[in-house]
Amino acid sequence: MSSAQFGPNAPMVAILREPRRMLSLPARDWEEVILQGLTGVLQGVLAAKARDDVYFDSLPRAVRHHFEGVEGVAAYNRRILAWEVNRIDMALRDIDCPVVLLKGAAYQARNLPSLAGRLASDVDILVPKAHIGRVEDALKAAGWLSMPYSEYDEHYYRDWMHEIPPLQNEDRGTYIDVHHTILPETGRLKPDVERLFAQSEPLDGTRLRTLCDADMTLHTVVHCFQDGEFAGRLRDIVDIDGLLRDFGQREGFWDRLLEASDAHGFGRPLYYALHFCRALLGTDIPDDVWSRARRHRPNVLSMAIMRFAVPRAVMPPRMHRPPFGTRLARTILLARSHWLKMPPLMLIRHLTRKAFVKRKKTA
Amino acid sequence: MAAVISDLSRKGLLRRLGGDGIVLDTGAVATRIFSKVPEVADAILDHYGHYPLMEDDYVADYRLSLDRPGGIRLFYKRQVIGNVGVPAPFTPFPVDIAPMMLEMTMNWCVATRSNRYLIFHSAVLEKDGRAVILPGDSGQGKSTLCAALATSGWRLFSDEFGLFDLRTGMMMPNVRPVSLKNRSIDIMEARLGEGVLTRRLHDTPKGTVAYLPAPADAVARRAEQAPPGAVIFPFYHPEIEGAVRAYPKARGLISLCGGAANYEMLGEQAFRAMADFVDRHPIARIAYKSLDNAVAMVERIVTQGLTDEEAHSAQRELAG
Amino acid sequence: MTEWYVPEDRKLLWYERDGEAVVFNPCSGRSHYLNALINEMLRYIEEAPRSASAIHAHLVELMDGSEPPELASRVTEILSSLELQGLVDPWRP
Repeated sequence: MSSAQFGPNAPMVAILREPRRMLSLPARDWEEVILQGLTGVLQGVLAAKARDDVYFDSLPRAVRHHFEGVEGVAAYNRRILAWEVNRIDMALRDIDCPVVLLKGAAYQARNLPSLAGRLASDVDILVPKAHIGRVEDALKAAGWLSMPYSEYDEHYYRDWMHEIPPLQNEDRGTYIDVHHTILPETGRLKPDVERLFAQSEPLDGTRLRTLCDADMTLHTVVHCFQDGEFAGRLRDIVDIDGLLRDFGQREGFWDRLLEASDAHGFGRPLYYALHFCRALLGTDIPDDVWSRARRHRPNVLSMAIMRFAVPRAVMPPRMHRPPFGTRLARTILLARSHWLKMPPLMLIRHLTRKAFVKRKKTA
Repeated sequence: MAAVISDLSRKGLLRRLGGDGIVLDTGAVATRIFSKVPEVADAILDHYGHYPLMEDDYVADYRLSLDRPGGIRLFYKRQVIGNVGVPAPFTPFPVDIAPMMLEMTMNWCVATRSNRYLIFHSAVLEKDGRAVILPGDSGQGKSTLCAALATSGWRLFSDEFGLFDLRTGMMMPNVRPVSLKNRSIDIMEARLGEGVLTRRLHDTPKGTVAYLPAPADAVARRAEQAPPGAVIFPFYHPEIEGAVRAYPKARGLISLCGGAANYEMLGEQAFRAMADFVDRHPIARIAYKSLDNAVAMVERIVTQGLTDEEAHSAQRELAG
Repeated sequence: MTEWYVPEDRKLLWYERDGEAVVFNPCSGRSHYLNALINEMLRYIEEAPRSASAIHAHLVELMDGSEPPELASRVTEILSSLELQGLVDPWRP
């Protein structure tokens, strides 16, 4: 008898939703869950939930030992990330424009409790397009290097995507991604970048900023439902769930979220995010928020495809080849998001060019 | 009497390997192995036949499979590749070095996923309640010395990874076969007689390789931790016999930290533990020509400590 | 003239024996072996912001006439290495 492989009853998803269920997880599921935690970069979250919500000492020895090891890794990652942010702050001291931290570095800088177990060591920043050259120069002067990308890839990054190619710190080997908007310029969704900067908040003691709570949430929302890769995106859904839990308690947050979503035109991805957070992780979403979000739902057929594909595709890779349903789901979603990212002609050209430099992003 | 893995018939072992897998409990960790390759079953019997058979619902720390890669080489030169469920830089190897693949894949798991412990690249053995740590990369005589000690009254903890529990200050066994290469095989065979080591594997990436299965006593006591007693960096030297020099303390500390794979990851706690370690225990280098002499030196340093002369050799090194 | 200092938030941990040291930087997570010369320099900078020439003068005094001729350039080299490693930062009052 094997357990569900995807959806709310998959062991991994079930224990993320209800950590108490770790205590009754069968032995044969634990070994797979440990591996999925690694491939899905969720092991830090699992360890944190085990500590907070479960009687830790009752867990099997291998699980306890694994989580203890993970806690060490997570603490190390936090230290590395804090140091990176410190070094970036130093390097950009004399730059005269807003520099906004994104994703993991921002969550850590704001001490968000639900995201404490998150693992990340690369940094993403957002700067105004006009200043990107100066920022790049300042980073290079402080020891970051351009990676040796081909001309095609440089072109892809600079002109089609929304960032300069990642820079690598010569001494520490860590990466920084410098963005001038939060979605590919050639995509169908066009966020209001000036509004992002206007609503951003300063980080005390540094010259850096973070997006406001609504924009921080929307940023992860659009990347989860716009980017190419769906494999292992369960992590992003867990992030969104965490952000909604932490921010949902703040005065006026839901209104800000819906307003910002309207201003940027993110209604559809937000609808998907809220739907799947609730379906998989049981996120608490107020009824009136849900009815307003529902206005942006797609047609019945599209939603049926998403309902089929997303729960399968987001599961972290398994040890053995994933079931056919998952591979099909991932192919559908990959094609969809490239369609959303690029005009059709460009899409064909890009997909036929195999050598796309990819590195494992951990922000 | 509890069942051991060799109690299974070869067919029974193969069936398990092809189904729910076989768990090897080596002390600090347990690994569940899957395979459809008969040579892997043989390797398990040779290296781990005397290890206990674990219950079905045991939760192992790692899962690994060793199977044929898909593709055109299906009928020509059978190959095997490791899979540990997460991205890893494994390449396929000929099936006749399956025993080495098994050990290397298990090593990969320990090296990358036992961050609960401070992991030293070292051999570790225990005698009279104290553990000796012998750091060193492969090819410097560490494994030969380890095998000699393991068969001269020392309890084997590990020949590759020393696991130090920062919480308790104890070394933790992870009992696996000692790997021997090239000349070491001849040396150990001469010491132990024929039939003790596993068969030689030829043309491996590391030359000729054979294994000394872990002594039964070490396997039986694999759950027993021990406090460290000394760190000894061993250097085989064809001309120097019996030289012992203490490390100046600060250099000893940085060498010890440098020899620990995940030292930086464990941060401040590791730094403090290692600083304390270096103050309490001798950290020394020994150069030796004969294995018997090395065994005697290790024994003496761990049980009696360094002589004044040896301890002061560190001061002279600093002044010079 | 540039001065260097060890920022308060760096909270370096020292293990010092017989003039040599290993210093742990909790911010970067890295440990560094310091020979007697570098150890003395870093200790001196830790006390207060110092310029390269002040450090050089201090070392000259300690070495009491036995300092090597290229000491000044060595000091500059070491300072830039210490800065790169994040052990010292340039002082900006």
